[in-house]
Amino acid sequence: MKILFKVCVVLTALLLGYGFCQAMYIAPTEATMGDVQRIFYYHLPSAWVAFLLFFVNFLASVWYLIRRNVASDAVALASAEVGVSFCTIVLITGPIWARPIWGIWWTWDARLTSTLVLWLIYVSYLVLRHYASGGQVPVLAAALGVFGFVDVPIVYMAIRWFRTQHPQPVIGGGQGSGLHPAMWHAVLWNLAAFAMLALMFVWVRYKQAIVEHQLEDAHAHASLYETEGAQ
Amino acid sequence: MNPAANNNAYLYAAYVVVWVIHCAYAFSLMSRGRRMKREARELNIATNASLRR
Repeated sequence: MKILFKVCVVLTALLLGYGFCQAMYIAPTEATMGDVQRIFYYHLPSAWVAFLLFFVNFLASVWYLIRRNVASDAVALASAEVGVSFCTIVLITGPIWARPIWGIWWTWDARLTSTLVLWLIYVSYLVLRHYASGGQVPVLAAALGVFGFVDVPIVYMAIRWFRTQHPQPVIGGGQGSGLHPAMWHAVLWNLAAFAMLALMFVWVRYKQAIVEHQLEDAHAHASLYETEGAQ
Repeated sequence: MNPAANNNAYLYAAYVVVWVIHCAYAFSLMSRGRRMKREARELNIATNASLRR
């Protein structure tokens, strides 16, 4: 397992390096926006990976509510935490890209606002996991994970349902939408790299969540022995 | 100043932010792992001591 992990780390590093080269040097320069459009190659894959991780959180939460097993709770926690880190990247790179193109950092349009709400939902999920105590916390968190996921399709469809400042979709956006094939290569390589990086993070965090659970049990046993010893 | 060069500052800033966030998260995972190892070691010692009593 350790060898597999090391192989995955090397593969992730190679993918990230190649994705970076694709985004910065190989993909053609966009005609109207210039080089600043290259932010797109990190912005879009980060958003897709965040959505994927929130979907994993949704599935794991549903599974936890049905079966109440530690592994699904650990998967839910790990995917939410890594998802929040990728969603944070989306919310920071978006305004950095918007400033030179739109002339503003932020606007309260449907896509941006629903993405901010999505981030807040999963941050509140993590705050709940971190600060609340008691046996019902994983159940409450799972319920929040299930209902919180409702915002993901809203974020995705926001640019189709509403008139937004945010650009129209590059997939299924109708006539005139789409990307140059060389741009697609950069998107897909970075998507693969970020998905692999997310997988590594989730893997490590999942194992830590399992150990955390074991440590909580060990703490309970240790305090039980202490109490028995004192009597 | 050349506007294109000015815009490139935004590009570099975005890429730096992405890597800072990923590195910070990786670092937080590593430090949590180290803390948990230490906690497990201490707990094991405490549990063993309790058992010996």
